[in-house]
Amino acid sequence: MKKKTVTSVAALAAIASGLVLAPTAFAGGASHGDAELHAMLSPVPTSKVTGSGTAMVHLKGNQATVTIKAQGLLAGAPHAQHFHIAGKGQCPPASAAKMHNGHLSLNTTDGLPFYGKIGASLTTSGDTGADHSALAVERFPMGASYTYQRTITVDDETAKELRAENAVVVVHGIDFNGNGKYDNVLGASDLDPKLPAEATDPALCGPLKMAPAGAVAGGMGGTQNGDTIALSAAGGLLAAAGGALYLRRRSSRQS
Amino acid sequence: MTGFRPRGRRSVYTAAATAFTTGALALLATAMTAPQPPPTPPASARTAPTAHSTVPQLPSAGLPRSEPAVISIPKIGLHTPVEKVARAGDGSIALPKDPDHAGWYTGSVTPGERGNAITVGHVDSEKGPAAFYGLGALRKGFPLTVTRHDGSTARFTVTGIEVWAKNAFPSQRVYGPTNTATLTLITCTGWDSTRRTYRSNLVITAQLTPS
Repeated sequence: MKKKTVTSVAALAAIASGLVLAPTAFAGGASHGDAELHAMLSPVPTSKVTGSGTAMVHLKGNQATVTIKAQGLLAGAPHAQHFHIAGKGQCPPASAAKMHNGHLSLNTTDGLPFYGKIGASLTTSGDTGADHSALAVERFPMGASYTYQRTITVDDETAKELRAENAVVVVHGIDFNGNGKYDNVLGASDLDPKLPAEATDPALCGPLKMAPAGAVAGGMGGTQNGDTIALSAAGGLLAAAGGALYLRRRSSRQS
Repeated sequence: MTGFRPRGRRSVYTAAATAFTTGALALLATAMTAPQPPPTPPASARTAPTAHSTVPQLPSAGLPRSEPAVISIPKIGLHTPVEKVARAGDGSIALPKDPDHAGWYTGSVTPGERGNAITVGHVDSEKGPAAFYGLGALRKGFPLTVTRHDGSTARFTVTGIEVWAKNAFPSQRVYGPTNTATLTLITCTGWDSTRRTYRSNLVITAQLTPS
């Protein structure tokens, strides 16, 4: 019902702005609810992470095909990764950092007002729920650099938040003191006291934004009168020759 | 006997022939000065939807965020102000209102930042050449610069030239985020004289030049 209304409103808007010429792209966008979202993943402030990454999500109904490329993370360690939703759709600024075990840093809880709660756990296999798999360390990507790709089913709220551009990709696991492993330099994790904070603190973060779809209409043809111009040029040449011939005959008869 | 009438008629013919000849010559002149079609991209730029890039993505810190002001490509005489553009109703990137301006898609990073900064422009307007008229003359290795609102200049080198049919446009490949500071420039190409429309998009990619 709601979807129908959205579709017809969008259709009206499309007609009004003369965009009915692109029915394929339009039908794909509205009636099947497909959405393509992209994110640049950047280091979370105060995390001492120097890595980076990208994320792409193709959403079809509640099916999300997720591609994440990450690099420059702590090697040989698991990196939990999630869709965070229903916050501000932002990554936390440095000002959100607090003192943890005597060090100014940003744990997962500190970032919640910005990126929101977990909407889905981007595990490599099995469950992807927010509750049961949030810290399933044995089912998250491992290593300094990785490419993750998986099609998962997200719940209705997460699908809605993705479409509303209010979802954020967060990759966790930092090496604050640079000793090559997760330890208790920042104390215990705010999510699970059995884990060190370094293992669950946010490392990379990027808000997912709607990507453009389809080709651009970047030309109106004002330099493409070649066909007609060539024709008229040929016609003009003939006519000019004919006229000149008449004038010449005329002047020779007069003299 | 006086030959008045034939003579008068003849002068009418003469006047008509003179006017006709002048008109025909004017037409010729128009044909010679009318805007020429834009330069064509190299044959190697023609692509099929299956083609895939093998360019390795190396990490690059890039420049801090700053919105673009002017794109310059001296080799093809391009120097165009940049305005902001968003998505159109159909989800595609809207074109700049002024055909002599390039458009920077505000949903992408700013040129020089790590990521894929996307710019679009008209190849021609209804009247003649527009901002991205000369893009077809670009070749790999050509330098281009973007001056930014913070006063800095981002220098790029052309690394990719591709032509994609509009009805088989690989959106994810062209618009997808990159881990390097990439600049993408898109315009129209492939004039279809029967349908009187452009059938393809010319996609130029450039990488930030290490300074």
